[in-house]
Amino acid sequence: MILLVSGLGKRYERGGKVFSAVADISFTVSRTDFVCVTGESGSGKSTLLSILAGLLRPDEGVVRFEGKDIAELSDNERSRLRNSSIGYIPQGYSLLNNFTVLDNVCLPCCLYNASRGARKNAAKKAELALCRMGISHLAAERPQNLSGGEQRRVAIARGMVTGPALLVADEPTGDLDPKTAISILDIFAEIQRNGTAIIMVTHERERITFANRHFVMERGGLQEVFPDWLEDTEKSCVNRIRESLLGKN
Amino acid sequence: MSILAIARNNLLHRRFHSLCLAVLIALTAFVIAGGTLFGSSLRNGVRSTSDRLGADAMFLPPGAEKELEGALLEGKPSTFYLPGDTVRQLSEAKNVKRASPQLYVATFDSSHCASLVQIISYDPKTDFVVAPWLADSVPDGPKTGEIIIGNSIQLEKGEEMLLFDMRYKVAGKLEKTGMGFDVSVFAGMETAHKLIERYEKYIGAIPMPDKDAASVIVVEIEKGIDHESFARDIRIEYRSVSVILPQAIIGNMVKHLDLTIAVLTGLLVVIWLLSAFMLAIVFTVAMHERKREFGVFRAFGATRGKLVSILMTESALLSIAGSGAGILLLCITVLPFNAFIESLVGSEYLLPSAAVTTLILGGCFLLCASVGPIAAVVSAMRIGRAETSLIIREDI
Repeated sequence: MILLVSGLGKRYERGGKVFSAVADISFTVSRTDFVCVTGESGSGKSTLLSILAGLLRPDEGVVRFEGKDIAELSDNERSRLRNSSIGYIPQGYSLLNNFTVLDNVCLPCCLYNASRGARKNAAKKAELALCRMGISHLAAERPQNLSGGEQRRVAIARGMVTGPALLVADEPTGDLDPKTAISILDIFAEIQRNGTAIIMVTHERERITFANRHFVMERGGLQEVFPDWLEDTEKSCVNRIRESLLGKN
Repeated sequence: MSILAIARNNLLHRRFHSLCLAVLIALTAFVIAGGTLFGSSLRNGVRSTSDRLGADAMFLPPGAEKELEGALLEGKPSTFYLPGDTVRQLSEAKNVKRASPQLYVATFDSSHCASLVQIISYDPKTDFVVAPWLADSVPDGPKTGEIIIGNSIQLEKGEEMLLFDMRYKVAGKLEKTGMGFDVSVFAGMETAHKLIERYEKYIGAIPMPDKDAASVIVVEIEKGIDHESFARDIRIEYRSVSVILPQAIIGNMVKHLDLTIAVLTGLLVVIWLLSAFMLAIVFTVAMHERKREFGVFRAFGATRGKLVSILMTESALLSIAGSGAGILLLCITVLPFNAFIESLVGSEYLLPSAAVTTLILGGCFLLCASVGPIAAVVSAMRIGRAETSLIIREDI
């Protein structure tokens, strides 16, 4: 198990009223999981993802990443954790236009060590990551010269370059055409097969076929959806095992 | 990629934006350094005048005040004398601690003299005003037949100057004073008497009433004596003598100067603050536009400190480039015309020495180079404090 989430809650205030973006969410993620979270816009998916990626502190509950409670870490420790162990692919276009594709992918590796040796090593890793995404020929280009699909591949390469244990992707196929979206999801599936857990948020239900686990988010709550072929007794068995992992029994 | 490289890259990417900010800082640096240098030059001019007029009081013939002022401050040569017996009496007057005579001889513009200059001779035995600052140029003072020339006279040490058809060796050249001394020639009493003897040939008479006559007696007043009362007593006792209190002249200059410099300093502070305020607004707007970029940095592991460092480095690079350009522009466009400015402003203006000027320019550079980081600090801290997920979603 790489991630354990228990009793997670996050509230916001809007127009003088408090509402729960995330309410009492508990689940676990193993190293071989490709988790897909779907839900309507405004259901709290991005907030949940931000908390899981260590970008946002929850108001209540625990997020344990590889046994460490993320909320208890200092900002510097969380930043280090994000840099080394959590790949994050933000919603929309997130590449820095003032850097080349290669530099964009290199950046996470050079953030804490900008020595010549580290830069050389980072460039090698970045080239490899771009190669895995099939876009090594675009290394010297500026992001604004790339198509939406190519930009998304660069963002995935950047998220993967440090070899994270968990990849968190917020609507990675949101504004892509179906063919490009499928090619991106193929890449995710390959990443998962190579031992990186993936949590992907999407509002496109047709994308869930690539994941091995599916959660639906509604009004801040999270519900796991089991495949139709699973018998009810098996579903309740799986739930009991997970609840015991979460320490609820 | 180091923070410096990231910051440089960010600035180069937004070239026009960066250029506009650098130009604003350059203009600020130009105005502040120029203004500070102007103010310093005014102060230096007055200080120089005060140092050179080191006497507490000056005795001179009645009606010669304007001529003396013209000779000392503006370099208008003139010739005037007090008779020898008056000189002797005045030197021993009540409350006079030290007194030393000075002789003023004006050359005339003709083939007999190299140029129109004021010859000022002093008595090394009694002098306490001229020798101290001449000592920087010629430690032992000029020997008989030697002269020391003012900075604006176009001769160099070792060359000779034609005065009343005689050639006198230049023993030294003074530093710039911004006063009439820049076009004056300094000589010992013996040299002066020789010059005056030759003077007779051209105007038909010796202008000196007797051998002990002097143009001016510079006086140090006994301690504790009020200078105004001293001058009044002398005027009552010696009807044929006029008394000038140099510090009173300087006092008026200083009063005007203090007001001018206060206004100038106020203006410079306002300019600096305005510049910082404008930059702060621009930085805040720019930060707002770049929130997503900062969020992405945070998302892949940049700490708040790193983010603040990137922003502060960007503003520091801009400020350093802008300040450097502004001060360079000042050096190229204004400093070469310093002589012209001096001629416009007069004796109150004297550019400080190269070392002091460099120090002033360096100080102004640092002051203006700090404007960017100071202006950026608020928005940098704000972006550093914000929740990363909110920055990414641009909810702040």
